Amino acid sequence: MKRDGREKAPPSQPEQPVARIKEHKPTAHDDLKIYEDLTALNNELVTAQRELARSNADLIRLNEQKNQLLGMAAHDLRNPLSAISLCSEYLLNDLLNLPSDQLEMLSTIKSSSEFMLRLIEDILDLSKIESIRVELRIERCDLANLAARHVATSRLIAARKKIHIDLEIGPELPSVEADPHKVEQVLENLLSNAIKFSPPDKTVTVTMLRMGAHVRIEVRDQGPGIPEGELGRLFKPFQRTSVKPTGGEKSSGLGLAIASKIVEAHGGEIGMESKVGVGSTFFINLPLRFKERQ
Amino acid sequence: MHEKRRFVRPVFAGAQVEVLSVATESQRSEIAEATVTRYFATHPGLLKRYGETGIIKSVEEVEYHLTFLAEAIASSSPSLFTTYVQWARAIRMARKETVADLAEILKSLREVLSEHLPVQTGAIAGEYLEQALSRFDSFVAEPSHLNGDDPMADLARSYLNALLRGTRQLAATLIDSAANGGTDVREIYLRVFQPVLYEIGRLWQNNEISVAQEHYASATTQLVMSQLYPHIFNADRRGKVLVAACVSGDLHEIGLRMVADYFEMAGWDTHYLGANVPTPDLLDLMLERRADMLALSVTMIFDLPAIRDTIEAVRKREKCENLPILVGGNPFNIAPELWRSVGADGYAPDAAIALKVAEDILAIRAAR
Repeated sequence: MKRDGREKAPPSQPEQPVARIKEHKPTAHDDLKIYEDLTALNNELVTAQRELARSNADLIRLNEQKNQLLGMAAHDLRNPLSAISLCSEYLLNDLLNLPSDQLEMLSTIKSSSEFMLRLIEDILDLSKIESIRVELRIERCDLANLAARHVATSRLIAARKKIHIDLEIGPELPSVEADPHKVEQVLENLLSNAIKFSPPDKTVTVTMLRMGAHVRIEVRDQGPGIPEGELGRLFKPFQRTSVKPTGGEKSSGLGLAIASKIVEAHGGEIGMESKVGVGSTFFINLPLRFKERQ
Repeated sequence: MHEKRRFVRPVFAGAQVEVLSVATESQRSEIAEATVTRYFATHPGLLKRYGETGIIKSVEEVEYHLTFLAEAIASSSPSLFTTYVQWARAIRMARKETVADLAEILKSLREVLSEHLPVQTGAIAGEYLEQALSRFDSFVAEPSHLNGDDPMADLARSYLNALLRGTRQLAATLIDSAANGGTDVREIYLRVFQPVLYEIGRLWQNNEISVAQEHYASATTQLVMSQLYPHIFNADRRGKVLVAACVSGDLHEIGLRMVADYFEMAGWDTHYLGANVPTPDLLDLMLERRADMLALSVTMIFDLPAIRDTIEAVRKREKCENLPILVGGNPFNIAPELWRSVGADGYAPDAAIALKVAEDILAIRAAR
């Protein structure tokens, strides 16, 4: 059973049999030693292999997080940058009497914001969102205020395409437990899509009303509608339909995927109805009470 | 945890320390040689029957007995020594060796110890030997570990047969098909790997398979477990960290690896270090990875001092003093309270229970 070849202490009774043969070196366990060494080596190998697999899994997770962060950041930055770019363009067109140095600053704002927009488009092209996890900061939200504020901003962009936005708030709309920034992000996605795909002189209608234990938010457009066969991929990342933006706007194909993840994280549901030649209605049902999901 | 010390030094504290000294190299050899000398002297036919090689083998075996005896006494666990003697008896029986020789040499050992040790210490050693000898003839053969009623027993038996036939690829395919067919990997661990490896141990003990087959089965199972990584490293993270290590150079690593994988599947970040990790490196890694739990395992009773030393080092290390420590391995299965005496916070006989114990410990601490 001894494996380390230790020297033994002097015998206590040298005249006895043990003493006579104590110099004998047994080799009976040599085979066992080889098996044990091989097993030890194999164990070390599989331990290293496990660590490698674990590290790879960590890298895959980190890569997913990186893609998620890039995609969300880029998507969230694009719309405010578009507003900056549009506003500076309006100002450049309307304020012709500005001093030349101020005009130059305005031009810089416009060109810089356009440059950033192009960068963001590139980032969106590069980053592939395979999984989106949403961190929520839940608080009590006044959706009517939120919608009024956001619609006011969107009207600036819509006016450029001569699109009118109506806002209809149902009576006694209750507050909801939700992350207001995320809800606004969803509304912005739906509204910007409606503007993007609506022809000029049409109306986009935003409706909010209570339906039982939910608040329903609808964004209805009078665009070309989406063919039924393409509806299934609407909420998947980087999926586009055959319907083209009416003003040559770009679409990353991420907006509805992100919106879907946000609504799901709230325990709500998102969906749409569409009829070719008539228009599309996107809706979300947000629960009044937020429940943490496992 | 308040009961820990009660088990560390129960009644004969001073005597235990003296008996522990039997475990030192020179004394152990001296006592073993004296025992074998006495045994051969009182049984004149033995030298002729077994020759000089038999004497050498006997001295080694008695040293082995002494190691187990000393550690059983240090752990205040007579069952550790009794179980060991039963195991040694089973090995002899399976190899058609005379079990009476084992009983007789243990009696010689008892006599020699009573002469070599102070009275009180010798009495304790005598009690442990007496208890083992009193149950010597009530040996019950270990039953098969493959339960016919278990729905996964068929898979376990097929896997065992593949291992015993040396068909590694078939073994891998069986498990791969089950996992890809929707069988929970946790079930494969607990109801295929675990019983099959216990069964392999039983078959070796019964001399029905060779050492080579035993090692082949372990190596193949390690390989097959590696193929399950896609099922293991894909759980949502929970922000909890487990560091797991086998104490000393233990070759029986699979049990603890199963524990680490089980935690991983439950969303823990696990760092499985295997065997032979120097204690300072283990401590550094625990701090670096901000471990929430340490899992240690031993297979052999003579590695118990090493697990005590490791736990003591953890307790002494700044920022690790209160780190929960789980232990597992064969000695802890034999002696149910042993985990307390080594200074651990919990013990588990398998991976599923280990996870539950760990979660319970964390929940209790969080509630304080």
